[in-house]
Amino acid sequence: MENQKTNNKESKEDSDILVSTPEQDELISLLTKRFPSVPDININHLQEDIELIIESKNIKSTCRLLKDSSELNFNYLECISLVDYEEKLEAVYHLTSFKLKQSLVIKTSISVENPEIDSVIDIWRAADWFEREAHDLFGVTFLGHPNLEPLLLFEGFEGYPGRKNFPINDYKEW
Amino acid sequence: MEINKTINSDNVDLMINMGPQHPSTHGVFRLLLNIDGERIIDVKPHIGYLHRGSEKLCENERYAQVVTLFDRLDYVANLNMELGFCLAVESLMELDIPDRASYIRVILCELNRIASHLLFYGTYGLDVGAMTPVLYAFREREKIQGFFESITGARMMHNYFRIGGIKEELPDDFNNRLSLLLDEVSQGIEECDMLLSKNEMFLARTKNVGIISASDAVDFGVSGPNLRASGIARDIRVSKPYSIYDRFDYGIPVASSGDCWDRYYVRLEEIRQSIKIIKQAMSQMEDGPILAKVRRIARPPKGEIYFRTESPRGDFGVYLVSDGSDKPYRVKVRAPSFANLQSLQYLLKGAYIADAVTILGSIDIIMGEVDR
Repeated sequence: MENQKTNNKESKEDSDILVSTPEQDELISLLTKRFPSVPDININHLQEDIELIIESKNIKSTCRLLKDSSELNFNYLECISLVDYEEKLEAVYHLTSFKLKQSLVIKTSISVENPEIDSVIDIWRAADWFEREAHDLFGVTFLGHPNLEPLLLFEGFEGYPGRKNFPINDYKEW
Repeated sequence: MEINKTINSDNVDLMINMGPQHPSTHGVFRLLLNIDGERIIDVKPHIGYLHRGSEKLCENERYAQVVTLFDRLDYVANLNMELGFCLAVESLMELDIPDRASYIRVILCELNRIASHLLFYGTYGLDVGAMTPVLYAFREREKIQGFFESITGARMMHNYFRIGGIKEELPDDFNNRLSLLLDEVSQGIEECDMLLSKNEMFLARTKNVGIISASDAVDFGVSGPNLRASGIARDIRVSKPYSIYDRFDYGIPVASSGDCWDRYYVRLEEIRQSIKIIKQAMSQMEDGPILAKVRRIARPPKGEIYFRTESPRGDFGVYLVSDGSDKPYRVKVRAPSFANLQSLQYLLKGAYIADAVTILGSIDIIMGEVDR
């Protein structure tokens, strides 16, 4: 642990090129071997997690590959988060492989005009409520999800409260 | 969704609405149960009654103010929630926390874990129809809450952790009172254990009820004691040590069958391990500063982090995106109860209606963090 941290800190000071740890190198080589066309790989020096940046149309095939390949076996979907960058929405998937004892982040952009992405519920059943929540709060449609009823909000709620353009009423004294 | 259990669902004859104000739903949680005779054939959980938009509110508060919102997520393990957020901000700012502050945090968080598991113990007894355990559990829990009050100023909703350390120094008689408290609590735990764990009726209600296999639990994103009861030894404190958890020697209780009794007993055993951690932390703790040198208004650099901590209910993840200003750009909370509760649809299918409350209670949900 200590080594990794100092390693990462140095790399940040030295230049913009990030130095990866041996475990990360191993995962990266596994990933490049498995994928026919290598997606963008990013290393976040703060959290030791490798980020894969992919196109939204490839989400299902990528996830399927990550879970089903016996070397990688990312069997645990931790979280699906959405971030509203106003010009685009970003879906962030946090995965963990119990076999490799490593985590992976998948990031993909979704257009604001047509917020649609394939559901990954066939791959991990954990995706069910995470996707319903994202549908509620950000208005993203997960294609192939069997039931996108409101989860946290009530039926008939208008607007997407997670998004930046949703007004938040400040507390006013009267 | 694929559910492996196959049940003939041709003749649905009754639909039961349970909640949202049912005493055993632990908050405001509603279940729609389709039953065929005594069997549950379909389940439809409804959540969201406690949705306050915490994540959106976080975007409009300064970092120091967000801590108070995190208190209100898992409202029986407030300090564990505060720790998760503070550590996320601190690692984004690459702050070094003074040792003393880290030790105090660990001691209080483990005490909070004990208090939270004691609450589970008491209410689980009630859920299966035993009235006495809750009295014993709350007697012990109240001592811990009173102890928190003398340190943080509040029984719950402490707002005690700060970005870079803690709010204020401990009272003078802290060590003596803590060792006295630990003695009392560990004695109380043994009493609780004796009272319920091997009780014949309790065993009949919980053994081989609500079984979830390891692979299904992983698929549903179950974490914490629920996952460990199914036989997977995953604990963030060990697999990816945060704060100073790598300095202690303690065990991770793991069961194998994944039934209600295992989920119950793993938690009871975890209380004993937490006491072990606190004792070690007490002996290792030294004097020193309690707050790192930080600016009054925290402005983490542009970037993002997903920070995992082990809350009493499982993997508590905080996904924090910063744009360099004094307010977070986006805060996403991965609440362990939220994912654990998803597995209920699977657990209840094919179970007896009389076991519904037993199974729901064994998952140990807190609606504050499910609905956020």
